[in-house]
Amino acid sequence: MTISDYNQDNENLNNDDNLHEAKPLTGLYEDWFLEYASYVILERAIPKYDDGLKPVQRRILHAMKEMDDGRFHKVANIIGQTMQFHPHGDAAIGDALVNIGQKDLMLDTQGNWGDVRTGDRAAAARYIESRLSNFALDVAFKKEITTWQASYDGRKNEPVQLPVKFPLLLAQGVEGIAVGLSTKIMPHNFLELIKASISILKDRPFKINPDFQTGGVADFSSYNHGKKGGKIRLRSNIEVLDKKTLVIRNVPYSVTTTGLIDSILKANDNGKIKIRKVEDNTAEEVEILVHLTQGISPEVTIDALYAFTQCEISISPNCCVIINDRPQFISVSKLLKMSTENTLGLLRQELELLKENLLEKWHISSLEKIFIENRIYRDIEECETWSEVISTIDKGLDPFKKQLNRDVKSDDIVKLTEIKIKRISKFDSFKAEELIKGLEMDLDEVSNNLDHLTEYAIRYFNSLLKKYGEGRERRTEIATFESIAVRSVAVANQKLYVNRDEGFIGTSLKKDEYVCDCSDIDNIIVFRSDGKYQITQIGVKKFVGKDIIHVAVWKKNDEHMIYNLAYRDGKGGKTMVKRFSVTSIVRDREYDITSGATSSLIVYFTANPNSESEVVTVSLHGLAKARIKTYDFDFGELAIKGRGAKGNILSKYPIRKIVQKSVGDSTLGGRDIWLDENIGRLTTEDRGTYLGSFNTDELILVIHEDGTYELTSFDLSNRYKCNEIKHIGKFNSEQVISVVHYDGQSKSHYIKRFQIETSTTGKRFKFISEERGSKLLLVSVYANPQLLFNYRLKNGDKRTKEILLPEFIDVKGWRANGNKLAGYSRMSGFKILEDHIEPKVRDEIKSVEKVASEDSKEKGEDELKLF
Amino acid sequence: MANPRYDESSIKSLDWKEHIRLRPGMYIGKLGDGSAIDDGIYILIKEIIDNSIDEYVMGFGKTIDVKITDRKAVIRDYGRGIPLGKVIDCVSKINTGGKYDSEAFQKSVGLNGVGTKAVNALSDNFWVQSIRDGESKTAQFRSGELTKDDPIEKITVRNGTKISFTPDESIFKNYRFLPEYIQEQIWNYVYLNAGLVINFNGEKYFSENGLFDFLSRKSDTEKIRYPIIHLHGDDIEVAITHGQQYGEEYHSFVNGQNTTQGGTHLAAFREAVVRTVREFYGKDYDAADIRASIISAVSVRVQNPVFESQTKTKLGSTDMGPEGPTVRVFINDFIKKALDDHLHKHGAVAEELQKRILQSERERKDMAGIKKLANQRAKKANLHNKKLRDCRIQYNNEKADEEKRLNTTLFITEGDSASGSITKSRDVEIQAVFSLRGKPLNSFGLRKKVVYENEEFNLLQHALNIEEGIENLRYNRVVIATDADVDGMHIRLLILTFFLQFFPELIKNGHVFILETPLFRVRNKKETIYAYSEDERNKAIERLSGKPEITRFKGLGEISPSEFKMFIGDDMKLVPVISRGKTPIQETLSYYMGKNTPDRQQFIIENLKIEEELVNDNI
Repeated sequence: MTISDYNQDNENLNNDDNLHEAKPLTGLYEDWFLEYASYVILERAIPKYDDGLKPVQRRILHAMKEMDDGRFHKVANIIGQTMQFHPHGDAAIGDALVNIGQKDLMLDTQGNWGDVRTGDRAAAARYIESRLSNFALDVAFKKEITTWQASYDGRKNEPVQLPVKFPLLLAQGVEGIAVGLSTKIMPHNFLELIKASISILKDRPFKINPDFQTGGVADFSSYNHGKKGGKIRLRSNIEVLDKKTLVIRNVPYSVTTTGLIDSILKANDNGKIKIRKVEDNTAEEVEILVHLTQGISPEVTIDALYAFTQCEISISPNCCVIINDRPQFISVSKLLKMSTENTLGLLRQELELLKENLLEKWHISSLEKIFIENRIYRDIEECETWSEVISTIDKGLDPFKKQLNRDVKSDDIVKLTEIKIKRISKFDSFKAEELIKGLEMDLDEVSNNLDHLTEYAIRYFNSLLKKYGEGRERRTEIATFESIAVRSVAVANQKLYVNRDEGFIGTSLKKDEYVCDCSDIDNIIVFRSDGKYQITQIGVKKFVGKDIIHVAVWKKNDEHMIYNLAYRDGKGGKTMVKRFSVTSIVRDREYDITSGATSSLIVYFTANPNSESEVVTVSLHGLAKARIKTYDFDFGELAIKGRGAKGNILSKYPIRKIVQKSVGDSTLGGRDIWLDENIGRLTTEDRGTYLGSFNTDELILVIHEDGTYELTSFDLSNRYKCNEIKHIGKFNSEQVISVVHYDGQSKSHYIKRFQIETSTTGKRFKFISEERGSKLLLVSVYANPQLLFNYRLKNGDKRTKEILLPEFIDVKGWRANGNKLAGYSRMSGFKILEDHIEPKVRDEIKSVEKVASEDSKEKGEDELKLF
Repeated sequence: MANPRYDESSIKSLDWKEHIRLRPGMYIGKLGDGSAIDDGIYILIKEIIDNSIDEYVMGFGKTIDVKITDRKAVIRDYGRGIPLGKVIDCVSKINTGGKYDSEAFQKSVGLNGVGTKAVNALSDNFWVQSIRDGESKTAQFRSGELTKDDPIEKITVRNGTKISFTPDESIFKNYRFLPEYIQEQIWNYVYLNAGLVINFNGEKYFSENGLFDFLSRKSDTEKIRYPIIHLHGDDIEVAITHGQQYGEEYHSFVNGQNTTQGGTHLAAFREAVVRTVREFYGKDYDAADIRASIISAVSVRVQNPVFESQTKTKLGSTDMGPEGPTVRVFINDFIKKALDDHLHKHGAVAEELQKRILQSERERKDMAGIKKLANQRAKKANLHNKKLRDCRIQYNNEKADEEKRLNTTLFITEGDSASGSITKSRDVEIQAVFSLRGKPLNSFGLRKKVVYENEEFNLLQHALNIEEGIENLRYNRVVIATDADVDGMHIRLLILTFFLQFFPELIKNGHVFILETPLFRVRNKKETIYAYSEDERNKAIERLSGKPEITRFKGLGEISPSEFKMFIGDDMKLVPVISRGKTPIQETLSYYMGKNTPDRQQFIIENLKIEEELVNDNI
């Protein structure tokens, strides 16, 4: 028998009575978590896609619209008004409001609203004032087409979203951290967004990139349309003021000058950079002066500032918006498309609304006209009751109802009865007709716009451009950034010591042998006498194995560091020799440079930074059976192989000692150097323009647009402003440089040929006149350049002249002015043909002709006489 | 004021029923609405089942059927049945019972013959049937008064007793049985009575391995450090293992009674474990290190046990029986022999246990660095705990009134929003207030150090007095009283995480609750209705026709102290935080409180809760 049998004789039992479980802990967690997460996502941190606003922003704008009377309102008051809709603290609303204000688009502001560049905060809410900008009033509100919801206390209505006819979210950008997800949308350029919207409407391809109020330079190559996973890099503009001073001209987006300076000081404290002083001279423009320590290269410091401070930051945008009450991750392009469609829809709604209003007006006006012209009002004189009045008028209108485009409602009739006698007596049919015709024309236009909505929308966007586009040009320069090898720009702030016998290296072993200066992020290579080697990061004190024979800072991919080696292959084995480099490696792993036989021993080892070969004297052991016990061996005979190669036999007999006799030439020759014009940097990778192969002391010649020349080393940290350079190439002292220049004083063109006589590097020498108006037109380093240009005869006919420059003028000093190119009037179209004899460098420069960027400006103004 | 009269007329002699109904606390502890495991309605069930268990112990009836709905309980055993002629006496006459002389009943809990009568007196409807050899007798009562006395009739079912009762609504306000708590009771019965089958609402509960099964259910088998040690002896059964959690977890029983507050037997057990372990390893480990993270259960049978309270949650007996050894010696001897043997036989277990002890030692020494800070803090808090407004009676004050003790409550409030009004409207005898400032730290994944480093946590720990475990907990109920808005939910999550992370036994033992406060106030000029959900709100709007004013409580700060009295008085709505059996605490915590995962992101997006009310008429 079971319980249920019993229940039958138990009169108290309700059958629908059940036992209900309490919510378990996991359920509570789930509930609370979801409530919290949903709220933060939907009601706090993530903006809606259509109006691009977070709830607090929407409520602020709505409250301001309600208050709007064209005057400025105190922000404290706006906050109070906003609180009717936003049940949160005043500080949160105030911050959100200041944030919108600082974006300088939706609000007109008065007072100190803070500064995003310096991080200065806005003045207190009771001081500062704001009102909606004309732009905001134009694009963001239209109550008739707004969806409303009850405010939190049910006392007022607030918009579900505002009818924003503009990609506001993309223009302002947004950042929000919710639970489980976050959003980070970059601000974009006002003009570009509108143009892109127009492109979308025209069904043309488009692309948008972020643009920041703070300016700076940015690399958007991995922007990936703002999708999750993309990345952008932002940099300040840093200029070399002089050899001891750098100027930071702006701050990257989201970095303040204070934060930037702090990061510089921190990098200095950590020894990553070395500076003497930082000064904040920010006024209307950001200006941070970085004073360098004596002997520190400004170029390297710029790199170091990018690598170690907030002068460069990277941001991972993540475009997450609320679409149909769900957070979604989309691209900014998609977002712009959706926003454009939304705008299109809103424009249609507005037009339809307008049409409706016009139709209504037309209806009433026509009815009035009929009512008065046909004197229907007279009919009611006999009527005794109100309903009779109505029906009589209705009847009177009957014959004319066909002319109207909707039924006559009793409301309409009531309106007719309210017409004042004065109007009837003064009624002017002609004017009424005009009015109705005007309405009809307006209606036609609206209908036409509705039929051609896309064109209408394009006109709308164009009007925005015209009305509000001024002063909203792009501020952030788009560029491609080189990656900075952190190790090559870090300052050597440590000293490396070694205890060879006990096998320790480190920066704290001050009593032991000093090796070199290094930075604390350098890698150190250590060879031991048993043929083992490893690469490890420098530390305070590290055990790397006993009997160290070589320790040094190791540079990745350094193909020119060649190790010459002789080792005994196992106990009593043959002695092998080999040459190898170590270019890449797994850190902290032990490698073996011998064949691996036990008891192998290194008998000779040198490290040759520029792949020098050497000759050594080998002395065999006294007991060796060989006849010749002492002989020379040239490492130059050996090919450079990988580190794993076994090597060649030096001797099968035991060796007493090996002594270096002489050092030979570099075996690998010079370094091939390219110039990457995109980033203005030298590189050893095959990228950009090939400049040539450089040996240790060789130089690069740079001829600048301003008529100066400069010699530089081929140091990879050099930077060149490629758009200001006329010529860059390997320097050769034999080289003759031919130039065409214009002298501002004599207002004449000159041709000169000269050789570089100095070898000072890093200094610019002006080789054309210092006079105002002087400029450099053409440069050639080829042996026999030929100059071509056009000129006009007196009768206006156009002629072309060729001059072989070596015939025109001899090589003279670099300060000489050269020969005047006289006798031709209205010269233009200067170009140099260089297809004669190539200069004496291994060169693959293809450019055959260079065209002067501008025609001579003096056309007509200043006639040049013939000789 | 008039002098109270004191003469013959003021001397009353109460009928037993009246006495029970007037002072229910003396019989069943506290009242409550069923949201706490120690609420009276569960004691009622226990009193009835206890009798059935006694029959089982005597060897009659291996099965007990239990059927419980939200407000009603039916218990049927297959024992011998109450002698038919004494059925009415047995359930309605005080000091009537069959367990007074029998040797076998000496190791049972309920022998004073009060239990069933108390249930009867506190029930709106009490119905009893006894079946003996083809004859059945039934009777029915209301509040202990006989309402129906059926004659003996013939019946063809098995022998046994069946009792059904509905607790009195006027005593247990808004009560509701929670299955989790009953399940817990039932599991305890079957674990302590291997071989017994309890049929609860159609599900069978039984255990073959007693406390071994009990502990397996209590602990996460993947998280325990070594297989459960299960030791048997005459009148004693013990199960021990160590886990990963902070704190010590003990479950103790005397004669099948769950002594949630321990007592002499538990004290002896803790001492014995430490001594045995020290001797086994020959090392003088710190007692705290040996016991850290222990999960264990101990059950003893004591003759004529003495409890320190009527609810029998703390054993007071010092001796096992009139002629027996002391509880301390008995348990010490048993553990010393049995546990030592076990560790010798199972080398792997001994090794794991040692590792656990060494780990605890390391962790404790880790904390030593901040001990100085901890001491300073403790000193300061001893002088005055600035976040706490204490009440007069504490849970650990054994001299205080039992019922009041059980009702001691600490409200943890959020910011300034409610501490003021709760302070003002509280019952200062038993209700204390601890106010948090802002959102507490998310303690998930943090180490226990944070309890000392974070001042707020430190003061909370101090207020609860749980640094050394929960034996001396100062409040029986810890009520999280945050705003009923989303931020309040977030704070609940954070506080629960703190407890689960560092003081899980607080939650496992059912001390933690959430205060439910209304979300809306709907009022017109005459009437005010508080609504706990949007549903209730809509109903209230309907009731107060016209245009009532609706206030959404954004924070508890909007509720005036006078109103608050209603929400924390007798009608206080508490939601228990229940973690029983196999609640995957760690997984839950790391999922909700840990690092964001794509999984979780997806989960949130798919389960978003959306509320939006559109206005149809345009403005």
